[in-house]
Amino acid sequence: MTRHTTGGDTGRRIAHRREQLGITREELAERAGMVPGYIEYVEESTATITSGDLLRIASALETTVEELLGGGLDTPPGQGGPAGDPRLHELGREECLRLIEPGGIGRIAWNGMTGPVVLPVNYKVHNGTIVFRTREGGIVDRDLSTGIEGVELKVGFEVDRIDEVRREGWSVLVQGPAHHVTSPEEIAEVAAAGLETWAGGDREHYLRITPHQVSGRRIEGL
Amino acid sequence: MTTDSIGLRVPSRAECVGLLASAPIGRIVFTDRALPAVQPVNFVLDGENVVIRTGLGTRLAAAAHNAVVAFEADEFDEAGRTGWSVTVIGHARAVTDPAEVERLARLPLTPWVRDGRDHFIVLPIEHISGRVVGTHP
Repeated sequence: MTRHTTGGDTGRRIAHRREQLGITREELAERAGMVPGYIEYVEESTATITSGDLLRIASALETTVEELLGGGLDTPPGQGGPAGDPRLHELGREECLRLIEPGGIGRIAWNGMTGPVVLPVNYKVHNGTIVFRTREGGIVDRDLSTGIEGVELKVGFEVDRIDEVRREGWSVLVQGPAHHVTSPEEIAEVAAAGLETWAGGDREHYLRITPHQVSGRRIEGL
Repeated sequence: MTTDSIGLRVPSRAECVGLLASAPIGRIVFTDRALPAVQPVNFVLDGENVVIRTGLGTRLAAAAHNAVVAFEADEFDEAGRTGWSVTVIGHARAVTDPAEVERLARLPLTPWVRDGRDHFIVLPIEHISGRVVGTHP
């Protein structure tokens, strides 16, 4: 659990935000599930506070931990601002593809016949495309066959690596057409990619997504 | 828990909700500029609703207003051999009532990305399904 030092600027920000909302220390304490003495301590002394407690105070003050810590300190000068600029954390295409290249778990998403569908699958990257196995006749197989020659369903495919404790990581989204790998040459080539399957069973299809749109972001929370 | 035709276990509705509650993050699936988009988000379960906090003016905020979206959470081992996934489908709505915003702001839910102004999306669990693979509970 991360600890932060309060008092000083953070304490002053907490007090300022509390005053902005027009509530007393007692009211803040009640909202945050704490004793009023602790709020006074945090606002006025140089203390160490856990992320969890700071989070509860931030929630009670309808703001974020980052704002209370004086957000923007880690951003390069001249960028961002109080509203935060998501473009700061956006990743370029090359970096996104590099991040997903090792394979692993990804989630395929598309607008199916009865609504949005999302499914985690084991994937590999092969020749710049995303390849995964799916059960023949299963929902992926059925929905992805538009039945029209040359028309393929556009899907989204998301991969992320998020450290829940440190609340940071990255997420990459690939969008593009998905098609069944049908020719024997293609199948052999894709089989060589060594895809694991968890469903067992031998009647399976390979599917390949061609990345058209590729986007991603670094996520930095507390 | 029942087993489907290929040996994956299918958890009950209650088990699905329990698994979902254990996930630290989820992913919201929506349509963005006519394409399927998936975005990890912080969330909290509030009764029969998934509550998400996002930035005002973001594409997610626009896309999730009165739209059918999916919300997914999962957990798998390193090799991807054992694990579970749960998907929620429902009509998401943007929260505009100030009293409701104030109530939701008190839930243990902070946004991961600092977007400035807050915007709550409530997704009722209209449909929930899941699957468990391998020996993971």
